[in-house]
Amino acid sequence: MDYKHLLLLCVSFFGFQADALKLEYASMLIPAELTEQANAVVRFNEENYTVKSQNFLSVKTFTAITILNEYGLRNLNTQRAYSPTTRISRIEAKVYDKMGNQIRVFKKKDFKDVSLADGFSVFSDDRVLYLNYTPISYPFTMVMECEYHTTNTAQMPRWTALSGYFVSTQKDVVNITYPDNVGFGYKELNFDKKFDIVKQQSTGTLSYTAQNIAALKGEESSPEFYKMAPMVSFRLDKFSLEGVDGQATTWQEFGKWYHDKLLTGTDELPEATKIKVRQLIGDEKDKVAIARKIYQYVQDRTRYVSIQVGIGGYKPMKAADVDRLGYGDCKALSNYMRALLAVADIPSYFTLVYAGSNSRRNFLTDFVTPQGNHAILAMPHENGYIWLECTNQMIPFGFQGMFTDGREVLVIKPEGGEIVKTKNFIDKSNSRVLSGSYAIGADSGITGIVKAVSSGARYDEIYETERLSPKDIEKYYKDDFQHISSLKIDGIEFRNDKNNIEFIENLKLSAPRYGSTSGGRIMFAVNAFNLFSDSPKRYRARQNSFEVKRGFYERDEISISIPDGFAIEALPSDSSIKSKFGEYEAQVVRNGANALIYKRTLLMKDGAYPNSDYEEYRQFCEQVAKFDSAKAVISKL
Amino acid sequence: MIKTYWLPIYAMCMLIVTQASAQNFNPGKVTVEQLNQKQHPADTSAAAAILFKKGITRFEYKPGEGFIMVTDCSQRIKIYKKEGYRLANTSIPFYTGRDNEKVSIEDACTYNLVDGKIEKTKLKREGEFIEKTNKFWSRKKITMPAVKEGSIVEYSYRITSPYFQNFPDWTFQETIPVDYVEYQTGIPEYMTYRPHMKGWISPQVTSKSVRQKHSGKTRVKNVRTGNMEDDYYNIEFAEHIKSYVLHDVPALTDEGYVNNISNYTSSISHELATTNFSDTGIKNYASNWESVAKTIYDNTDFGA
Repeated sequence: MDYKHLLLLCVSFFGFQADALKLEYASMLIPAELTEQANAVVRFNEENYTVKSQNFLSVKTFTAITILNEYGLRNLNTQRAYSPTTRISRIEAKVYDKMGNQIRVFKKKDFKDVSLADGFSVFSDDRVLYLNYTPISYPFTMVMECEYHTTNTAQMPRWTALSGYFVSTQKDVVNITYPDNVGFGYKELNFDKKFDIVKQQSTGTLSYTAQNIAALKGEESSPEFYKMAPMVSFRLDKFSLEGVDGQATTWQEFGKWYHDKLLTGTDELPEATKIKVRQLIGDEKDKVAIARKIYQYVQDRTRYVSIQVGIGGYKPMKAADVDRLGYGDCKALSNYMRALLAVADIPSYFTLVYAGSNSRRNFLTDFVTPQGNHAILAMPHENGYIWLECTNQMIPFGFQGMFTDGREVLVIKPEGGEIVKTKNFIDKSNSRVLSGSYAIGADSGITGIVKAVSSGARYDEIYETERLSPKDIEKYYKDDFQHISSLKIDGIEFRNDKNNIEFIENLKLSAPRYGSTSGGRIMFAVNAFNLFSDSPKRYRARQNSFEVKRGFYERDEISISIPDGFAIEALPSDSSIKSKFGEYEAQVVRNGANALIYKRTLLMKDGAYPNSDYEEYRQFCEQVAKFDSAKAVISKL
Repeated sequence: MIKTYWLPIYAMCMLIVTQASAQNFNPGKVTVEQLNQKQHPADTSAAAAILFKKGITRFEYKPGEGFIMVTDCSQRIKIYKKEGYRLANTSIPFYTGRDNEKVSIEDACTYNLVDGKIEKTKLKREGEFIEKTNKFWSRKKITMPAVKEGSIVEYSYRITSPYFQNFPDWTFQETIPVDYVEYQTGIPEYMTYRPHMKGWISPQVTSKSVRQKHSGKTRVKNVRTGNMEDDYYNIEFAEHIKSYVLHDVPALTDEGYVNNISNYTSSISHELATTNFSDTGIKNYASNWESVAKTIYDNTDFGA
């Protein structure tokens, strides 16, 4: 008999005396394979969903989670959101120590009731009940029970069998029951064979049980967790969204519903504004030129203000109100732009999207439900669309940047919805072209000029620099050129070419000691202005696949002059690497006795790769960084 | 001869100058020059600036009820750049306990220059929100209409509070330049507050005392008979008035190695030390760390 069973016996023998002892929550009873790379373990989670009708869903949840250490504390979810359409009827929590002794009990009144401030909304009617629990020791187990009901069935909760990186699941169950007249549907995602998940289904019910799923390790450049964790999404053909009923099995139907119920009647404008728009257009006939003018008009007289109340979280505020007040959220401003374009007889379509610069998240295209977290506008042009981001007052016309590029979105037309992929900024379209020259002096100092032209995602990364204060601009460049000590910026000139979507920087730089001197020799890195510095973390055994999320292309040509009285002693040899991750080439050539020309190109490709490729990728980056810092030696004659 | 001859004119000029500048700090008197201004004269990188910010906290005597703390504040903000748009939204926290504090927005307008003419857009109810932040605090939020680069937004609000310990904190310095800032306190002799000043820039302080007299009659219910009766009151007390003024306060921006910028922001707070009303006598409030600790310890919601 091992220690664990002995203890079980002892405690069950004496356990009846202590009502508050729950042996099943003792942390030492967790199977070792679940604690191995975990900071927390979901001991038992059960979610029961009962769809009573098209507009009534009741939910009962029970979650017991053991937090093993302080890193696991972030996985302790003690909050439950509510709103006028989602009511919490019961919520309570109990805390057990590592032996399973109950140490705290929290009732509903102990939960804090706060506005769910998302950080950017001026006003929202969403609120949250949460518990601010400070653990006194680890490990501990929290059991939380909650019951709530909602009239919103358009966006059903999603069940995930894993709740985060470094979190294991001992047992996780979901049961859903539904009437036969609502058109219940579901979709399994990331159901890999390695996960032990059992599905049971009969008329009007569906359940899943996941058991003993060891934590996934969070590693650099891993795909987003939603692409890794096994989960099930649910949907209804007949749904209700903040009191507005709908029915859709296809995107075409869903889009039509959205258009008819949420967009129709929001696009009227006062006559005075229509006249203004016509004046603005003047004799211009070209549709893109007209749209450009109207876009500028919107950028000049609106600002982003988020107000989310009830159906207002989905239905845009009236265009006439945006016109009068000069503000609105993404829906309101996109819809306003749509209304203004309509004055010029230019059709455009309200579009829902998952926005985010760090990753391109797609709509689940075979799963018809309200999705996305942002709205933009799609203006048909030639065979595709010009995408208009209406919440940013600085961005060029037709440029959506990294925020909404390269992903599947829902374009809502009067006749119905359509899934379309937005323009993608990959690889060579994200370019930065560097040209310039520098002179290295006999004292090893340098003075130089450099011009950089950025486009695509590289434009997006840099174009707002011109709006910084002089102090912040200087700081930006000192960070950018941190490999040059005592850098002095002698001149900065920007040109933001919004028509071609190019950002041009012209810089004058100097530094007193760039190279290192020794015995009449100067050693210096030839590539002074553009060091590749990504160094992916090394993993002994990489577990996850990985993604290079934003490829780019760099082309540099720099001429270098060396001081009189010096001769070139040694130059780095030509270097070139070609791999599936990208291509690199650099060479230094003599240009007469006292001059050099340095040429470099780097292409980093967008891509998703298996874990087995990771080491090769890491070495590719390491090689590029090494070649980038190659040094030349010049010596005194 | 010459001296005496010039003196009155000089005095007159001074009078005009002070009046002109004083007028500039009154709500509603936005000028075309102010609207035309493209950048802040002293800080060209400023995204916005506070042209003036004025506040006064005093205690109003209400017959039959006693004192109530009233704070009036008005601000005029110039928006130079789009980055300054955030200044067109504001939120004013207020305490909601057994008796509520109240916040009312008095006058809130956005001024724009349209074809050389001043266009005024008033804030309406649709731009006002109350957010119940938690059990004890709510926030009045406003978002100003028709804000563009170059706009001037102006608003006044009044906070009334029955909680004398909640004396508002006043900041003289902001993350944007402040051209003129003025704060006044008017404290009746029945209360003692300890002012605490913070920050590097100290305002100019002037103090005076004035006698306040309130007399008249009010209708009150006789507890014995249940009838409404006239109640004559006649109170007279000294009000200690202090005013704090600063001109051209530079923007205070966060930098490295600053753990909390508010420790460096020029501001004033007031701690209630004692009250001495005729009916309750002298009452001491938090006056040392022991009693602060006790108050905190006795409060079931502290740190919850």
